[in-house]
This record gives sequence, C-alpha cells and structure tokens, in this order.
Amino acid sequence: MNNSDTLPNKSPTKPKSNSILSSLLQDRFATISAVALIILIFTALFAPQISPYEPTKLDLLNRLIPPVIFSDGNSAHLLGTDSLGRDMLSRIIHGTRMSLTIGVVVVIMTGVFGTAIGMLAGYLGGRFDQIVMRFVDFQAAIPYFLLALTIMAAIGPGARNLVIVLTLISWPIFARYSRGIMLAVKREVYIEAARVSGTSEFRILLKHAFPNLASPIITLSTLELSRIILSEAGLSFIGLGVQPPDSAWGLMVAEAHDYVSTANWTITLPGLMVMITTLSINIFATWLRRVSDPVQRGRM
Amino acid sequence: MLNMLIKRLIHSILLIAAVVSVIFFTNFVLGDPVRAMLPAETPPEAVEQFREQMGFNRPISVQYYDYMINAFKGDFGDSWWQKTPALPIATRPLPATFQLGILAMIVAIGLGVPLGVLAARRPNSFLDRMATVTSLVGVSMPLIWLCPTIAYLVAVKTGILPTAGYGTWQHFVLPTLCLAALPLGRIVQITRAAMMDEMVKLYIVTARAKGLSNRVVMMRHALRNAILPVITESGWEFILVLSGYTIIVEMFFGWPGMGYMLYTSILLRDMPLLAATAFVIALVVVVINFLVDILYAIANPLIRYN
Repeated sequence: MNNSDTLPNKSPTKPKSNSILSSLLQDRFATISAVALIILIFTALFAPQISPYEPTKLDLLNRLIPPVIFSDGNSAHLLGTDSLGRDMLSRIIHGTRMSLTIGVVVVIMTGVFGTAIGMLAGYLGGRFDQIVMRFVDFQAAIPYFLLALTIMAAIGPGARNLVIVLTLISWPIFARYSRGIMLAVKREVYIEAARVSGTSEFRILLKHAFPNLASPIITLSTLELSRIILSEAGLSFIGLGVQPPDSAWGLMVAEAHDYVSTANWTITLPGLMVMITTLSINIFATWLRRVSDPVQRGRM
Repeated sequence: MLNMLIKRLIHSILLIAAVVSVIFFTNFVLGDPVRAMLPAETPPEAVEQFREQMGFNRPISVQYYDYMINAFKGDFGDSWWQKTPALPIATRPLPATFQLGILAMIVAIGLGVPLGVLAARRPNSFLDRMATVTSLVGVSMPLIWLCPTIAYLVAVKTGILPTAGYGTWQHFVLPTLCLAALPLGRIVQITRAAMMDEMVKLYIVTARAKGLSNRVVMMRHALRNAILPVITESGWEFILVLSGYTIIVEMFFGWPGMGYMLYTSILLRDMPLLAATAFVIALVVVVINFLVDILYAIANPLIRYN
C-alpha cells in the first residue's frame, strides 16, 4: 500500500507554492489550536493590563462566588471568586503569565544548551560524546517527574529553583535528538566539501549542519513546552513549584483541593486552563511535524 | 542473551548509584541537612555542635562514601517523622501502588492496543479520528484537572462511588480510570504508528498477494511485528504511572501508596524518608526496565539468538 493511497484529496496534490499559513488554515483543529495559543500568549504578555482585579486582593465578604453563568453568580466576578474572595479570572490571567513564562524560559534554555551540546557531541565524537551520552542515558532511564520532585524537595520550592531544575534535567532530550541528526549529517558530502574548502569548524556547524536540525528541534520544543507546563503545574500542585501569593494554575488547584464538592469551579477552571494549553500545543505540534516532515504527511 | 543480561544488570546498578548520588548531592551539597533538621531559631553554637555530632562537618567526599555504602546496605537513616529506620516505612506502601498501577495498565493496554489496530486499519476513517483524538487528549491531560473533575462528576454528583479512601473494589474504580487515561493515549498512538509502519512493508504486500484475508494479515503478520514498540512503550508508561502519575492520583484519592508517601515526606520535610522512598521508586523503575528488556528479547528473535 502506497502512502498516497491513504491520503484525502488535500494539500499534497496541490502545487507546493502553498504558504505555511494556508496549509494551517486547511486544518481546522490546527487553526483552532493556533488561535488559542495566540490568545494565551497575549493574555500572558498583557496580564496586568487585562486582569480586572489584583490577583492577590482578598475580599473575605465575597468568598466562593460562583461564575457568572450560574444563577447565583455575580457579574463583578466573571469566573467567580476563590476561598479567600480573590477574583478567579484575574488569578487565571496571572497564572497564564506565570506558567507560560516558566515553560518558555525553560524550553529556550534547554533548547539552546541541549542542542549545542548534542551537536558538539555528534560532531566531535570521542570522550566528550561518551560523557554526554551518560547524561542522556541517565535522563532517559529515570522518570522526569520523580527526578524533578526529588531535587526540588531538597533545594527548596520557588519559581526560580523550578526553572533551574527543569532546565538541568531536560537538556539531554535536545542533546539526544541533535546528536543523532548530527551523526548522520556529518558524513554528508557537502560538509566534507565545506571543510576541504577551508571553512572554519564553527561556521560548518552553524551554516551547514544546523539548518538540518532546525525543523525537528522546533517540533521537539513545542512538545517539550507542553510537558514542562504539565510538570510545572504538577510540582506547583504538590507545593514544590510556584509559591503563594503568586498565582499559577497548579497552585490554584492545590489551594482549592478541599472545595471539590462545594465549589468545584475553583479547582476545575485552573485545571481546565492547563488542559487547553497542553492540548493546543500538542495539536499544533502534530500539525507542525506533519508539514515539516513529508514522510509523516499521510499519517497524522 | 546472557551477555546482554549481565550488561543490563551492571547498567541497572550504575543507574541506582546515580540516583542515590543525585539524592546525596542535592541534600548535602546544595541543601544543608542541619538547617533542614533544626528549627530556624536554633542558636548558632547549637547548630555547629549538632553539625559535628551528626558528622556533617566531615569532608563531602567522606560523607558521600559513607552515604553510598549505607544506601546499598539499605540504610538511609531514621525517618525524622517516625523515628524508626526510613527504608521499611518507604517499602510498606508498595503493594497499594502496584495494585493500582497494574489495574490501570490492564485497562490502558486492553483498550489502547485494539483501538490503535482498528485505527490503523482504515486511516482517516471515523474510528481513526477518534483514536487520534483519544491519544491527543490522553497525552495532554493534566491529572490535576482529570482527578477532581471525575471525582466531582461521578462521586459527588451521583454518590455511587466513594471520593477517596482504600479498601473495597469501589475505591479502585476512579483512581484506576484517572491513572489509565495518560498511558491509554500513548499506547493508542504508538500502536497505530507501529501498525502503519508495518502495513506498507513488502511482506504485507506478499501476504495480501497470497490472498490472505485482511484480518489474518493484520493480526498474524503486522501485529506481531508492531507489538515490539508497544511492549517498550507500555513498559515505560508503567514506569511513569508508578513514579509520576500515582503521586497526584494518590493525593487526590487519599490512596495509601508510594506517591502518597512521597508527598507526606515532602510535606513533613522528612529528608531520610524522602530519600528512601525515591530510592525504592527508582529501584522499581530499574527492575521494570530490566524486565521489559527481557520481554523484548523474548518477543524479538533477532535479539534472542544473538
């Protein structure tokens, strides 16, 4: 069975001049997820401007007001208030900023560091490669969450420590990917040609090898972003991540733990935000992988 | 085969040593065990005296050596909370977690593999789209949302199942479902991808050319080869279930397992207990990895005969 047999009559039959944007618009789910991500990014960027209240402002007279869609809701608090009378919408908006910031910072740091290490390991080989591979083996064999949790418990909670720890334990994934691609690329004739013509090693890595890595690394980064946001939420929920009075989605769920039966919106709304974010990222990443890898086109 | 086993065994022991090293390094080099043990208002002289008494003023290399030797004897010191050796306390909740984890994996594999195979049979069909959605939602699902939502919808609204606790079979239902959601998504994804990979290969074309029915081609030929990545993935998912997902699920449902123990030791800042619990979980992880490798070798003749 040929791959093209399984394809619906969509993009592949059309000329290749189609821009990325029109390819995105053809996929309904990918379009929705991209719009959701843009909204989330804007919410994070302009959190102080768009949130109706201070996220830390207590109002004990207006505790546990349900969201406005319930009959006893109040239009002053669109998503209701939590057990301390803080406005849920404002806390969710600031939580978006916190969770996305941590996710993006960690992904950029691990992406740059891990890719650089992996490229060097693949290119140089030898001792350096072996040492890097020991880290990669360790990281691949020991579950991520357990490692993050054990280290966070020892060095203490907080957003800054969280970023450091997640970075320290995530980079080997990028190293493994870029090393693998590097091993294949390094034998290519054009790399040899560049070397023979006297190009510097640094320039070879950057100008000739790196373009091969760019697209898989971008896809990997989106997948990592969703995983890191999930880990952050989980760790903040356990009490090892973001600390009060800051707002983060995982922390909000933890603070509302006792209200599952009486005020479930305080616990389900921040959890739903995590769900929307990770789902959007994963759908978008699936689309990204498909457009960047023609072999996958018939599959997803 | 024997060579491979010995190699894997050494690898496993080194991994455990690395985990214990990470625990030591974070606790004793990055963190200060004395500060963690004593209340903040302790006078400085008393702190120093205590440091000397406990041997925390010795060179790090000496402490590291002692710690590793003791760890391999199973001695992580006394739990600060219970005042008895930490390791026995840490192993006690293992059965409860295994019960939950194994049930969740049975649900995930039992649903995931058939769904993945059916999805691969007709790409882009309705069933295939369902499988894709299931797997995407499964891998994106935050347990901190799934657990309270299911607890609310099923337990609070209808009252037919308990919200939390451990004991009767009713207590198993909700935690098992929550725990199975994530591995289910991954297993569907992997099964489908592996089946699609096999279905385009030449031996499948041959089997079809011989006139075999679609059913026989899929089940007898393709699935046998596609099952290898599914075994590896299921093993890894089982590891993630036992070492990560259970922490959050057990917290929500008050399940007396390893995850709950881990959470308790973090809450009480009981460092020896935390170290012992993390050690036990890491040991479980390494043992499962080892078993999966053996299972993989048995299922794959290429490895079996090399």
